[in-house]
Amino acid sequence: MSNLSCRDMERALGDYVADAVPPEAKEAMDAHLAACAPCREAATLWSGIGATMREIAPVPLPPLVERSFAVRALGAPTPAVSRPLRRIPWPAAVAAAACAAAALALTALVPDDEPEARTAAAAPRAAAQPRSFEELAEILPDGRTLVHLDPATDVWLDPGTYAAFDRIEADDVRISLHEGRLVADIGQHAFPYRFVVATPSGEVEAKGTIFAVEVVLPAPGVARVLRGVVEIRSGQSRLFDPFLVFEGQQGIIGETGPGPIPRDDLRRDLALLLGQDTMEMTLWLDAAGSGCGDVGTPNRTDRAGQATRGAIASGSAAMARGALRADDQFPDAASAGSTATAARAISGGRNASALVELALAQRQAGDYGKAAATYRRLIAEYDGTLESLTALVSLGQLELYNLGRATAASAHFEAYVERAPSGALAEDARLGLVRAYDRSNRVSDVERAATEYLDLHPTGYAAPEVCRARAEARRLTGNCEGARADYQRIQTDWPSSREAATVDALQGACVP
Amino acid sequence: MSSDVAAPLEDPELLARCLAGDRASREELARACLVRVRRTVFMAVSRPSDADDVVQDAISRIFAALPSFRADAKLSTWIDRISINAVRDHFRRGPILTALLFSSPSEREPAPERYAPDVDWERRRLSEALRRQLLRIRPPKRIALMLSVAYGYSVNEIAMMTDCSVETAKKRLQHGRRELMNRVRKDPYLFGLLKERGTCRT
Repeated sequence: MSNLSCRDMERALGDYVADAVPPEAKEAMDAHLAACAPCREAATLWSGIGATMREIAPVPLPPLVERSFAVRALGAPTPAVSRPLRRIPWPAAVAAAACAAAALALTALVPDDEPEARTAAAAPRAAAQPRSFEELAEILPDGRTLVHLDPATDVWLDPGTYAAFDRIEADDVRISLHEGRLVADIGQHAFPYRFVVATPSGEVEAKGTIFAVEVVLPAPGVARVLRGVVEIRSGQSRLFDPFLVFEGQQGIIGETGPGPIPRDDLRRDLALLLGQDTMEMTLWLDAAGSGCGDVGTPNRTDRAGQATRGAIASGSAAMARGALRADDQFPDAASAGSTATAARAISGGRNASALVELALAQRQAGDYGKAAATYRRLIAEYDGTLESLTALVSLGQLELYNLGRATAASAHFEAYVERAPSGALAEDARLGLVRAYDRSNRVSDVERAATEYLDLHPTGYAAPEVCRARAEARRLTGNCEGARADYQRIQTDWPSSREAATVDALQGACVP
Repeated sequence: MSSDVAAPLEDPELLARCLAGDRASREELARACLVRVRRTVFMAVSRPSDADDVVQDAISRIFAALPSFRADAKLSTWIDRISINAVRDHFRRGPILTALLFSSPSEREPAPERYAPDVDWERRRLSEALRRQLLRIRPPKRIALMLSVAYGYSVNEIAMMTDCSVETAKKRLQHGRRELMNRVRKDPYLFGLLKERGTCRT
């Protein structure tokens, strides 16, 4: 044992791990570490702390926000010594550029005092980074801004809307709506997913939903649900419990309960969603806010429009959207202009959404058996709806990860892939298939499913895992060449993946 | 990670173009600065809305002072120093308020589980768990620790950046390390994963 005490070691450990100790001290420390287990453990721990601390970083900003902020910073005046205004944090100002007048986002690229430079400077910049704004925000001809938060989520902002994108993460979005109106269309996301719109009088939280939130100061905000369910929580008073608002209903944020959406409001939101300035629509709503309607979208000639032009009903007018999506998933029905699919989607929509909510709640409570039963009921009773399609993947995941029934899980994933080969959850379904086959020891099926996954989702989030599964399958079937190619691909394409770390040990284990 | 982020910051030509008033270069530099400053502030300030303010403050200071930047230090070091000053000013203005407001229930919630295991997600969870422990350490020690461990600054540099003596910087660093180790040891989840991640060369 060297002359160093453990206390000395503790003091110098940080420098030692960072290679910042002189050679002679390092020798003594090495000698101490070789003989002292607690110090060795501390050194290992400190090395882990260092490696992890170097990785601490905030979630990257979306390009729109980052670029707006950078542009804004360039035009920022010399800062005062005093603290920046707290009431409106900078994302609000950034969002103001995106929402209040969407055109500002583009014109802000060049300051107002350089008008002649605007066209000249904007063109090369647009060429250098053509996707920054286009990817996230689209300025519609009537002045509204359409923000594509992610492939499944769109938000429309009326002109004059003042909103802040407080948080935009893959599974967590929070928008503060100070004034104006937004309509959000939230598609399918991996569970769990949180989408919250905060208004001055409370919060609206939604899942798998199309809804509109409007704040007209000084009145409290209104949330109108076009599809799915939202929960409204009063932000300023504890007198009111949170309450649910279902499709076709609206809730006053900060008050007690839901009521039906007024007809004009429904038309306005539907027009916003469908991108129409004006639209022909006839709705028959009963007192509970459900009924039938006919939505004419004469300007739309695409497939979705054709489906929409059929009879669109409405427990929510947004059933139009629901039907539209359902037809997107069932191209045959859509190309035939079938109203049957739309009608199925509509008639099932409301209760199907409620079942989705129920299954989610059961899943969150750990009642996996009950949740699986709910999903099965949903699939059986509302076949053809978007909800039932989504439920196939949810049920597959439940069977595979929570109930340990790989064979049953693979059947559900197969059903999804067959019905919606390019659906929003196709990647998850294909990954589920690989895992389910793997657990059932169906080696040749693993190889087939993994090949399909890698062909269709070469940059998918689980591509290294799938590639390794295929390599293993090939190794087990004696296809050493194929296995080796996969192992090499893992090392080349995903060198920092967990799979890459163990490839070496496996590579030599193949016997043709 | 930091090398990618820092690349434009270490490009003398980009800096020269910025100082010459080229707008595209200034925008590029602003974006690189934003990434670096956000990271520094993220490690030091717990509350997201406070962090946004500090980032705004720091970036404004950087661009206001850019014409006076003399290349006797690396630009990234200069930016870090301004960021740290902005952070320290933030703590000076309202440490008690900050301490009280930290940890709204949503901030205390553990990161949500996902069904599909994902390496990046796991690492993100781990670094977030460590960040939470780091944020419990008092700001002077926290700043010294993060400058040393995350950015690799020497004690002398830390002393210069935080306007204190070398002895003080050394003490802060030592106490910060000890406190962080103790906190990590009390968190079995973090302790296990960090130990698994670490290596000991002997």
